[in-house]
Amino acid sequence: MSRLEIENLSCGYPTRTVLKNVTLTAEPGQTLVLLGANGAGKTTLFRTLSGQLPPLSGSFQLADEDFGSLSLKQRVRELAVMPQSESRDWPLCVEEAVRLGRAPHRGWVFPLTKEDHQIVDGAIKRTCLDELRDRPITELSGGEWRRVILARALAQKAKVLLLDEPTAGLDLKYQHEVLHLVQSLTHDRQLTTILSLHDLNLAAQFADVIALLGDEELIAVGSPAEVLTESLIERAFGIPVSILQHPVYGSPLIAPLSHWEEGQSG
Amino acid sequence: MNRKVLILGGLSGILLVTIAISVMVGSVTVSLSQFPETWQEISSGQIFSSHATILWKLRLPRILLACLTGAALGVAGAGYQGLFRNPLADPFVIGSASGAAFGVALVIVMGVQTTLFGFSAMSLAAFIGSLLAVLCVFILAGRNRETPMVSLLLAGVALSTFLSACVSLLMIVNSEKLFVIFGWLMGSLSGRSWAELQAVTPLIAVGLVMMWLLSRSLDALAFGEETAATLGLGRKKFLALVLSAGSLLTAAAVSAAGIIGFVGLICPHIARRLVGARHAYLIPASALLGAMLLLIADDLARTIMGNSELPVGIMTAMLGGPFFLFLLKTKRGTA
Repeated sequence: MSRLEIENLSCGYPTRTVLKNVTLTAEPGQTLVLLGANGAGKTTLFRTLSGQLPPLSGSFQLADEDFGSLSLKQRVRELAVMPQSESRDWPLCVEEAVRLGRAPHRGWVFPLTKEDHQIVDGAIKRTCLDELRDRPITELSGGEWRRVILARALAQKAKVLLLDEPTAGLDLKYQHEVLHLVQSLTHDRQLTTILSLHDLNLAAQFADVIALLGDEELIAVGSPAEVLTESLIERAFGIPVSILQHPVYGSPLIAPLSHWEEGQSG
Repeated sequence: MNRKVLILGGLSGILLVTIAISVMVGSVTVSLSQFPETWQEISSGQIFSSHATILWKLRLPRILLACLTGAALGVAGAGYQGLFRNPLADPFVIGSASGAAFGVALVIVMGVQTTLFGFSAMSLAAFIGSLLAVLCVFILAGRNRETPMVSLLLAGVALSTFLSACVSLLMIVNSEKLFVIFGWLMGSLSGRSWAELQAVTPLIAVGLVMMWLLSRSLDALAFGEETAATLGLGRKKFLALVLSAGSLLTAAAVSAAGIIGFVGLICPHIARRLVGARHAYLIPASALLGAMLLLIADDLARTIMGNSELPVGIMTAMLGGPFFLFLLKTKRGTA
């Protein structure tokens, strides 16, 4: 159970600030979705939180512990990361890939213990990968591969899950399958989950909290109904939309207006 | 019992049989029936017969050196392919071969004759040249922080091209020594004795163990550098360790046998077919296959032409090339 508190965080590169003064709290058991146009800073924020990029200013704390003061070793135990595109260069089998989630705990040399193997088994079962255990990861479909990465994150026993576009390149069914799995893992294990999405309707359906990025800053935070409004979306994405209601769930349903009306263009 | 462990056991068995056959064949054949007698003579320490002399003084050290060198090249290849996440990487990809060649060409041209620790001047030059080349590449590429792996490969190619040109220049200017240099460049195990074996054994042993201990880190790199980092892999330390192990293995192999191509490229590929991609198995399998391939190639090199020898580098490429093509033809899925 750890809340992730981001305070006044600015991130980017020494020559270019991408995001300024972000203050945001992610609660355990909740799915926080980052939305924003290309280049709005979603990936930069992820890379800062995962320690790939040093923050330009500000700080973030996990359960009252400042991340800046955590060693790399402690940090990788707390955080599991799914980067935007993760390569799979060699045909490791699914089980071998999931086992690597134990590396932050067991290190790189010593053999895994019985307990490690139990944790790996649990993670494989929880993500329904039992039948694919011996399959080379290079032969998996996109959806199966995301499940392997999630299983590895479970094996890592991380408290925070950072997923950069976990649905990229997936078909409708697998988008929902992966997000449903993320959502139920987040609830069951009280994980603090932050993910970025491109699809506003997916965000409306799966997010507990949405953080909208644009103009180098955090534009809005709140429930899907609060954030997914016509004016905020047009401000963040630069395109007018019309908001409907999902006929079954009642969540916002976003219909983009692709032909500009008179007076709105330019 | 784990299937992969069984395969490793099987490979070890085949290697032992190959060693036994290699001991018997050659310009003088030692048949199975003569073997006990000859072995008794060797173990008594009183070696008089020609059989015993050939076996003990010439054949056995050469066979063992072929195995060690082959294992070193196989493992260096597996390590570099893992590090660069590139199936085309081989032990010479970051300048080891051209550094060694330049060192040797320089020593031959200058006519240096000293020996040290059982190494000839040429072996020493190969060892030092190959390590220096990798160090240069590492320092040159280290300046670029964003893409260290690609920079390493590019710097390796650039330095190799430059040093190869230097070697060619040395060969043309000193055409009377052209054949000596060329012969060394083709790789050979001819005339190697226990002294060379003793000198390279500890180096190769250290390199093999080091690379094997890096197995899990190499596995993690299959997900890309970013994910490996989020699993806690410290890039600088890891890079330095893999490069040290790989260049130590390559330098030892090159100093023992010259530049032998192809072993380090194809053995990891065959090994991946047999035991999968996990480096804890892939590395020992590459070692066993490398030993086997170089031993068979050397057996052919010393027997196929009757009394004259072929450079073993020619044999590894002539055996390995077609076999590799056959593997590519039968490849299933993605490698």
